Amino acid sequence: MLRAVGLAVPFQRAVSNVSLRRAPAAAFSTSPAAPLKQMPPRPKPPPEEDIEEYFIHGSGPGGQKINKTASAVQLKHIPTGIVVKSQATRSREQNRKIARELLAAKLDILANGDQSRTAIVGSVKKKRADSAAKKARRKYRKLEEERARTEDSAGVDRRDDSAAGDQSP
Amino acid sequence: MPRLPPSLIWKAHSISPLAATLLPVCRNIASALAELRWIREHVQSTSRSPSGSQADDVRLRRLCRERGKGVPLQYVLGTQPFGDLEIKCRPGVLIPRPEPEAYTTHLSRLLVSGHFIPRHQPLRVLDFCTGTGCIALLLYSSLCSSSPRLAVTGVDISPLAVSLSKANLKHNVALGLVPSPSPSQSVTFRQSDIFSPHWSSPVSAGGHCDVIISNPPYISPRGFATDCSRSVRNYEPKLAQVPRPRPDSGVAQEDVFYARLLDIGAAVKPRVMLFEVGGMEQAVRVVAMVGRKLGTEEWEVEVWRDWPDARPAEEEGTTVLVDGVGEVLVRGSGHGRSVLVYRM
Repeated sequence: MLRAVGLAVPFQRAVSNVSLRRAPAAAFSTSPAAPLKQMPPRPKPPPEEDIEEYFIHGSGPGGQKINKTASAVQLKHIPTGIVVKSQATRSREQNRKIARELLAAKLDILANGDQSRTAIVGSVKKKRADSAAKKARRKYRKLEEERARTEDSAGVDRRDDSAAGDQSP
Repeated sequence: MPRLPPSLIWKAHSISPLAATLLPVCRNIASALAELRWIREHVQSTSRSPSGSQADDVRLRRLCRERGKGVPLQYVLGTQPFGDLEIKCRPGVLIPRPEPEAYTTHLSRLLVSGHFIPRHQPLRVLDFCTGTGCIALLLYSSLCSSSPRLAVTGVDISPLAVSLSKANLKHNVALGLVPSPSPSQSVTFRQSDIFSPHWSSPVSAGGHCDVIISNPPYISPRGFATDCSRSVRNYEPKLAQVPRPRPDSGVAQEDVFYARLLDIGAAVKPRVMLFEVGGMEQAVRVVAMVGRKLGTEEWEVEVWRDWPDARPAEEEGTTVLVDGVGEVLVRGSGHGRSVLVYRM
C-alpha cells in the first residue's frame, strides 16, 4: 500500500506539470465537435411464440452420464424459416441471448434491407475504414515524395543507408 | 470409441498444434477450436504477467495437454456457468450439467409465478445431494426477489462438496450474481448422510418445508460401466453417480435414493418435490413408487424431459402410462429427466 502511494504521487506531479505547460496551446478548440451520428436502436427479438428452440448436446443418454462442454443453441423463426445458431460461450443462458440477438438482426435485414441496423452500422464502419486507408495512402505518398526530393537534392550516399539498415533489428 | 482418422489430426494440426492436442477428447475440429478459445480466454483473464508472455504460453500448453488426456474442461478451467451463476468446480465433486440448469430454471419460474405456493409466502427449500451447490444457489438467487422470507438448505454426504458449495456461495456473492444472505433470506449448506439411522431432517425442529429438490446418484453399476463417457468415469466422483447397494430397501440399486427421498417427503409433507432421473424408464419406476408410498389422491405427478419448456418433437409422447397411477403428463423435449410431485 505504502509503495503504491509513493509511486503514484510523483507520477501525478509529472502529469500535472506536463498539462500545465501544454494547456495554453491546446486547451480549447474553436471548431464545433462533430455531431455523433445516432445509430438505429438494436432490433428487438421476435416474440417467443414465433421461435422454435433446440439445444444441441449430441446424442447419448445425457444427464450425469456424459459431460458435454458445448451448449449450442439453435433457433428457428417459424414465420420466415430463418435459422441461427450460437455456441459462442460455455453458458447456455448467454448463448440463448446471443442467438436471439442474431435472429433479431437477421429479421431486421430481411425487413429493412439497406435501412437495417446491420447495414447502417456496416456502412459507417466501411466509411471510417476507407477514410483511414485514404489518409494512410496520402501520408505515405507524401513521405515517399519528400524522401525522393531530399535524395535528389542532397545526393544521399547509398552505402550509409544500407549500413544503418543492417544495424536495425 | 472409434479411432481418429490421421487426416483429421493433420488438419487440426495445420490450424493449430494445440487444437490437435485437444482433438482426442473433443473428437471434431469445431469443438476442439471452441475449447481452445475458452482455455485461451481463461489463461488471458487470469494471467498475472503482461499479455503474450512466455509464462502464459507455457500455461496454455499445459492446460491443453491436461484437457487432451481427458480431464473435464470444467476441472481444467475451474468453473462452469449455471444459469446466470459461475459455479466453481473441483475434482471430487460432480460438475453441473445443462439438464439440471434447465429444470431448476423452469421450477423457479413456476415458483416465482405463484403456481404452487402463493407469492410472498415464506418459502423453505431443501436440496439433497447438493454437490457444488449449483441448484440451491440458482433457486436462491432466482427466488430472492419474489420471496421476502426465504431459506434454502443444501445437504450433501461429502465434506468436499459441502466446502465447495460454501465457497460457491462466497464466490457468487463476491461477483454480485447472488444477493448476500440476510436473516430473512438465507442459503446454507450442511454435511449429512440421509441414510444414517440417526439422521434428522433439517426442518424437524418445528419447521415446515415447501420444496424438496434433488439430483441424487441414480446410475446402476452396469450403466456406469456401459453408458458413462470415459472422462466422466475416470475423473468425476462415482459417489455422486452410483448409489451404494441397500438390500433392505426393496428397490433396484439405482433407485434407492428415490425411496429414501419419498419417505422423507411423506414425513415432511412439502408442497413440491422434483427429482432428477436417468431416463424415461427410471422416471416411470419413480412415478410408480410415488403411487405406492404417497398415493395419488393428494399428490399430482408429472415427468419433465431434458428441456421442460421446449416444444415436444413429433415422435415424443406427452403422456406416459404408469401401473397403479394411470396416465401421467410428460412435458418438454428430450430424454425423461425429472419427476415432479406436488399437491395443490
